[in-house]
Amino acid sequence: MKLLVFLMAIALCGNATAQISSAIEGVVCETGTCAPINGARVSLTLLTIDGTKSIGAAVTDRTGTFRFQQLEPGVYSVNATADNHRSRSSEMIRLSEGQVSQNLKLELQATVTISGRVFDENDEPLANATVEALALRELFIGKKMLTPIMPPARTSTNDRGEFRIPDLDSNLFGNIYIRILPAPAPRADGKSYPIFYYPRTTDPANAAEIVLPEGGGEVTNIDTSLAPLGVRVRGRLIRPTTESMELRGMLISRNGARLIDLSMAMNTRELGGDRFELSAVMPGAYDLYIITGIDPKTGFQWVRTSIYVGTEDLDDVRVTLTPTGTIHGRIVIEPGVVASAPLDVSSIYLQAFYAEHTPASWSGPRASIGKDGTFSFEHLSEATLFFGDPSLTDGWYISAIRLDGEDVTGKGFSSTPGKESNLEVRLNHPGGTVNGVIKDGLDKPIPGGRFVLLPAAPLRGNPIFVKTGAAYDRGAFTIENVAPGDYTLIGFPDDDTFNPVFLRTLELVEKYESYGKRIHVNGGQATEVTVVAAPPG
Amino acid sequence: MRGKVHIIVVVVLLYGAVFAQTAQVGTIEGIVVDSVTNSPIIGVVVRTANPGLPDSTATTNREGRFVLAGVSPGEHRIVATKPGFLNDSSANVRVVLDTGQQIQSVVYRMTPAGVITGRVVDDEGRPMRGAQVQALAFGYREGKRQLVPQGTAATNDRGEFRVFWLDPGAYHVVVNPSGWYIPTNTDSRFIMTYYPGTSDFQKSEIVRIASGEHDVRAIQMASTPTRNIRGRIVGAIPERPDIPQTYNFAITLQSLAEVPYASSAEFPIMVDRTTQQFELKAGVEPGPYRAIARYRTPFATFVGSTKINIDRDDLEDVQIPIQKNLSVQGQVKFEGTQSTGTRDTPLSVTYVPDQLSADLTATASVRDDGRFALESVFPNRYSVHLKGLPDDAYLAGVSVQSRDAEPDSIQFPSGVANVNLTLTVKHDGGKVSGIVTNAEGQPQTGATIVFFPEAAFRSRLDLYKNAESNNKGAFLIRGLAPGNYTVLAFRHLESGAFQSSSFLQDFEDQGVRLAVISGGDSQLSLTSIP
Repeated sequence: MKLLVFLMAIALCGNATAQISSAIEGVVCETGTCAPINGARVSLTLLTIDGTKSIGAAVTDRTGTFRFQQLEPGVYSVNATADNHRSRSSEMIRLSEGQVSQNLKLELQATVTISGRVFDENDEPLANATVEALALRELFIGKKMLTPIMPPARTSTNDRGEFRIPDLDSNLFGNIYIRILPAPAPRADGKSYPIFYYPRTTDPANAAEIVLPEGGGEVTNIDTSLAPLGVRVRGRLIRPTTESMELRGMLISRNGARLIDLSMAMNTRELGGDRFELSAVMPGAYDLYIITGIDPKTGFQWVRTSIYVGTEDLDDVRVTLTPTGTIHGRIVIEPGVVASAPLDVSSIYLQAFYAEHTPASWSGPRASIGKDGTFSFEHLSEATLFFGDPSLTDGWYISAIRLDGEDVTGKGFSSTPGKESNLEVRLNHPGGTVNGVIKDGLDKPIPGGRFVLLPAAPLRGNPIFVKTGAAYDRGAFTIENVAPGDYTLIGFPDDDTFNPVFLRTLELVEKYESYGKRIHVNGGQATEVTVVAAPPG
Repeated sequence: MRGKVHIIVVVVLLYGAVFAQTAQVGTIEGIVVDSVTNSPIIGVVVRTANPGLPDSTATTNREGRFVLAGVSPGEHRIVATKPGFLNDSSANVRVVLDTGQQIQSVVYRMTPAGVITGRVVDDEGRPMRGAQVQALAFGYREGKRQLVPQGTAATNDRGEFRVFWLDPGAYHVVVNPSGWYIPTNTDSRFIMTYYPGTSDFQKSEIVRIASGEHDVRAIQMASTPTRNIRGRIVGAIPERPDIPQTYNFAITLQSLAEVPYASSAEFPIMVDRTTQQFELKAGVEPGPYRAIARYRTPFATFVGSTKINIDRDDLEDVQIPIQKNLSVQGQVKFEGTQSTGTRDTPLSVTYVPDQLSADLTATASVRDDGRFALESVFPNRYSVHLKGLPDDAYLAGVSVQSRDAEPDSIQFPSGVANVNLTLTVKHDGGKVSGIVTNAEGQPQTGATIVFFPEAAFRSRLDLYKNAESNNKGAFLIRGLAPGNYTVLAFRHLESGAFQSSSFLQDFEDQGVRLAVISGGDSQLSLTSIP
């Protein structure tokens, strides 16, 4: 041993340049236990001023270890991936001449696999069905929607109806829902399957949640049974010319909670007449959207019609191609307003959102406001729009919104196909302030308690006028720039049930209205109010 | 008095006619069973198939029973289908139904289709997910005998796969690795592997399957050492001041080896802006390749290729000349009488390059006025196919820049801003009808009649026509381009073989010579070749 040390000492003292090269060693292992991972792929990258350079790669064996040697000094980054685990990069490793960086631990989090089978109405396995993992996504105006997770986790069933969806990260999604899209090939008897959700429902509201266990593993026996339900909807797009168009359609349920995208089931032919056909449509009220184009500024354009689907096939739904509409907007300051500081209307952030689910999802056009307060929305397809909260300051608030003279403050506004409309956004000043405290039944303030400030009924449809939030440490909160008027303030405990989506869902909040306190807000004044939290459940 | 008698007589006659009408149809009942286990099969769609008579359909219940109602009298072929079972015409049951008869004892035997199962593992036996497994069988494609995928499956997270719904036969199982695994020796890469675990087609083993599952167990992916390929892109690449140093090219290495199943691999590379040099690390089997370089901008695509030979050493100084894509304006001209047939499929033009990668094949739709535009066309030789023609029309001629050309060998010029391509379609094709009989003189149903063009035109795949004889042995074909043909009738013909000149010429002397003239109408009597 002493001889070895001696020899090493001589070697180190010698000319060191390019003789002793640097190395990086480490292990890839499980989070927590650091059990070694077999078959992990480790890649080494050199970071330079100009960018990155890939140096090499390694595959671990069952000891989980890796070693990169004969490296030049520099700054490196090491990245490890392994099947059924989230990938992970290390911190930057600064290697100097002759340095051996040891004990690098790359801990990878195990992911979850969901497995199961899909059966048809005869309890026989269904092959080539597409199985997708979905998660609940919360949208800004209190709506929840089941959407495919990102990155997409999708597979198809084999001849035994089996599927496996790996790589689900319990840190990203607590709960997963499973959706089945039947095979594109039609059945020999002409029937089709609608979209199903695990375990056996066509209604997304009844889709069962699958809890992803922490620490990885497999959730088995996620079996779904399908049946050939629903009716056929056929129709055509009526338009003035026969120039070919690529048509895509979407059928969206009108009760808002569901989303059905049948663009894959739609067969449109371009042989003059533009027919379309959807199969396996479940009964309900729908908006049928035919997408007619994409505008570079405003996105998708469509025409739509409402249809009601019952238990009989619909064979002649007609949708007429109408041109898009235009809205000329103007921000107007109410007459007689005296403000301490002038308001620069062109700096107001006015973003419109769709009240319904449309092919453009939720985001509508954003107003580009000129110095004179005017803006315009062009190439608008028919749909109801609301403005998002423009976050006005200094006591300014939106007092009313008028479309062609009609008060649409609580209703939202829409363009009219082929026409130009005038929209007035009226601002007033000063708004009032609400200083509130939420207490429990024992008169103790609730830190983190939630509140909803509901306006009078006609205005409740407009999200700008419904204020929601949470109280601070002493159960106290302040709401500013409130439009003067009558309100009901409802308080809630600090409970996950009363999350932001709940607070923005009118039909849920209104059930608690009797626990709220009626107040009146005056312009330029503060209203003090204490409210007792409504009991949960 | 007499008038009344007349009326009564008329009424009786009418009533008799109606009675006779409803008594005509009968029913056919039976059961569908699994030919291996003899157990009943639920959910089978059973129908009567008889040209000229309406079809009746039924679905089997839990006991495997079906009832076909409202069946017209006559001879019927009962055909049953269900995914997962072979579509075997020899399993069809022939039934002769008399007026108003009820047949009750049909037994239909269906054979489960074949499944190849197994696992794909790396060099240490660890599962590999996302590998593409294909079951290949010899068949005809574009007139050539080659290995054609009959089923495909991807390995799951356990490395397992099932290639299902296969017909019985002999298969080569081939696996294409997913891109994210590397062998333990990181100076190599996994490559396309044949069962049982070799990259050499000559060493691959055939998997013979009948019905049911066949487990090939573990297929260990083969690997090959990587080699560096260094070279230069020759030709002007448009300036892109917005990108710092390099251009993002893609290089495809397409194997030119004489194997029945060709592979190709794509590599993204960075091409230096000033030197136009590139370097790529490829793990591919040694052999001859075509290296195809491709660069896309929002306004144009640049493509070029060169032949290279990969063996043990690195390759230096590979020069790939590139050219910009052309703008080709096309026009389909219709001559002669307008067609009477309707078009179910819209008219489209497919163009296939001779010496570039297969994914540069593209299709353009033809507008109502006959105009079409080809994008992604490069100065190269192409074959052009017109699809969706009515059955009495044929492609009579092609001209490029007003010069006549052969549809299967069009050389698009370089350095021309706009290229004009005209496809001439005529409706004055020949019409041929006839009867096919077997050796005993009986009408041959379901025979394939093939029109084999004369030697000078055998590379023109669009000239090969085929038809099927009905249950009286009769056939009709229209839209034959004028010329000399050899007409052959086969009792059974493998799909796609009708376009294979190497297959057909062995039967040439058993055929009938026919000269088709423009607007001609011929009748033939043929004897089927068994």
